[in-house]
Amino acid sequence: MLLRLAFRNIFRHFTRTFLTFLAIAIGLMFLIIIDSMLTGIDQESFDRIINYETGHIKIFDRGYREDEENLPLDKSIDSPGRIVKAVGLEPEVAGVTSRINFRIMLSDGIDQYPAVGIAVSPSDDEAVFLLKQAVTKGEFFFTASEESILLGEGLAEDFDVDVGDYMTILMRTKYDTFQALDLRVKGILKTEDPKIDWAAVVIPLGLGKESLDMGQGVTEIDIKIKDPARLEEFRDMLAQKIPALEVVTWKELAEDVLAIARAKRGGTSIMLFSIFLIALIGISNTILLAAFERTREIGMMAAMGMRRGQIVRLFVFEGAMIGFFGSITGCLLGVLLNIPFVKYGINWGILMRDVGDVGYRITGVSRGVWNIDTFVIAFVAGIVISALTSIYPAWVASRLEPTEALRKA
Amino acid sequence: MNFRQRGRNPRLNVAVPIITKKRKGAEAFSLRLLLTLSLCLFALPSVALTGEEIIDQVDKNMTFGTARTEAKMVIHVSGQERVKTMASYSEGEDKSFSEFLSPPRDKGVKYLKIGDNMWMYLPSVDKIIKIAGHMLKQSMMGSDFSYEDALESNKLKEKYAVQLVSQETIYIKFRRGTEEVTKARPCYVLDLTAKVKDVNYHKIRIWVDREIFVPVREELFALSGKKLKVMILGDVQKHGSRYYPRYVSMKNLLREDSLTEMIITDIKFDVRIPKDTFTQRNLKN
Repeated sequence: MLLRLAFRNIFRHFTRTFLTFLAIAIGLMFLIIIDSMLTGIDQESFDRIINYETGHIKIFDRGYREDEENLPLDKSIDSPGRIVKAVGLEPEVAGVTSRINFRIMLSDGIDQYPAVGIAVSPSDDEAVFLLKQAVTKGEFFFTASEESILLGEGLAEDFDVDVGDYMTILMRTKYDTFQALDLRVKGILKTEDPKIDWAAVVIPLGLGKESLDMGQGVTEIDIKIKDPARLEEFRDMLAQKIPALEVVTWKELAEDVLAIARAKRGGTSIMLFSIFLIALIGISNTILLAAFERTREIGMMAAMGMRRGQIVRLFVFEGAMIGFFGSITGCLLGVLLNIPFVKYGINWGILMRDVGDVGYRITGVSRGVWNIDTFVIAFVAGIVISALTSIYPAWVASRLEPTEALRKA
Repeated sequence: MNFRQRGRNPRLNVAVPIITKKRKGAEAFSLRLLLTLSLCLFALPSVALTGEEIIDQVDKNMTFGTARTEAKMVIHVSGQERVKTMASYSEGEDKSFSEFLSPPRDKGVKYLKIGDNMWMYLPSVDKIIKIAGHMLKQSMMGSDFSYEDALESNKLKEKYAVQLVSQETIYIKFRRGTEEVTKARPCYVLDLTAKVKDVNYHKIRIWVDREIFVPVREELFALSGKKLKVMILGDVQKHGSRYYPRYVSMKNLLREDSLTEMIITDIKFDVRIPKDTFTQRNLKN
């Protein structure tokens, strides 16, 4: 009975109801879309960090991480073979490989540009990383000592080189002696990870060991595990087995990106709050106006024996109903708009290049995601908050004395 | 003919090809003897030197007690030219203090080097920065010299095996004031190969002026044997008994059109250096 009354009431002032409803719907729609995009960027960034840079878990020499920025070669794992083999036998491990990271100066004889060198194993790298699949032009390495390089797409573009061209890489050996190699570009990498596409020069591990005077040493061992949910657990287990080395998860390595993601979550919450605040004021205003407009009506209802509680409930129902329709429409609009975002994504290319390195591993298109939680939260919150904000005007309305209310009109 | 083989026995330098050309008969023998003798006589004062002895002679010219220098640094990069002027004091090769005088942007930037340590003072932020670690590998004031190049010890003999490879006459191009000069100089060619691992350049080839024992050209090589940088020293002037070049240029071969020239506009040796010159406090003065 009260519900039906409320339902009819909200249609009596269609324009006002419609505007409130629109505020809720559009607010929720934006919330859903923005959440989808941001979660998408996070997810893709994390995936790329894992797939191209860190794997799930890395093993370093003790002390490497203190000097990590300089990519020191003297803090190396000198006999990685034994560890790689032992780790590979762990049942939880999906793949293991080793790499050398080093600083280089890339030159075409005309210009030079600082970049990061990565020496990868042609046979095992794909057990952990997706670099091999990221070769868009040319080929991946066949042998560990072939004299060729893979270049990130951005670097290749900047130097205007293609597969088959020669580039010079200048680096320092483990003992800081200058080393320079003329290498043939064997492939171009397109990973969408700016740390690779704009800054990485990949060489085969054997060539790296030899030219950097590393002996058998590598700077890191990279591990992919079968169940990423057991990341920390596996790290602790491994750390216990090889106390001489440092075992870290990708989360520790990508701390900066995770921190940005967390900060952004904070930002999203503020946005969410603002959207609800706007909706809240809108609903509150609509109901309050309705209450004053309908003073006579309230007086009549009270005179006919309607109790205060019932009047309050009536108004709360009206608010909740506007909230309900707004939320449904908002969610539907969100779904509709999210479809192209998930399917085609947004191209951040120009923006990201201008902004520079902000930690996100996005170079071009980033896609949205279907985040069911957000839909549920948005939907429920839309109704609940609409209902809650109606309480105050409803309470004001219910306090009117029936006789006074009737006379007032 | 292989340069290395020639280098091992400089006495036979010129004689060897003649023997191989004229082998037969007594004429050939007497001619060979004559030639050998005359060449030996002619070259006597120089051929007697080993690579290490040549380096010692070079050190006599290039190392000094104290000096005050005023210099101009001309940085050429992609068709543009930037000129910086500086004044410095140095004591031996362990201590130096330099101050940039121009352009306005760099005025007041000071460098202090004591042994293997280097500090920089930036007047714009009023801060002393120690140049260490990765910074050492960076270019100094946008030039083709790195901080390391400035720190690199001249005591080459400790880290490198010196070998006299050959003798040849080379042309050196340098600037004297505003004019460009090209000079032909007879030189010893020395190959310095690292005996230890912790050197910047695995191999250095030096051309030393045969008459006055001043290095006129240096080529710096990577471990792979690739040539990285070429240094030219010219405009040699006599200061008392010492010969010292007033012009140094450094070319980075991995970059096109990049060249840094250092032109000494004034140098005085064995000067008295004010007390407290080589202190960090002096950087802030």
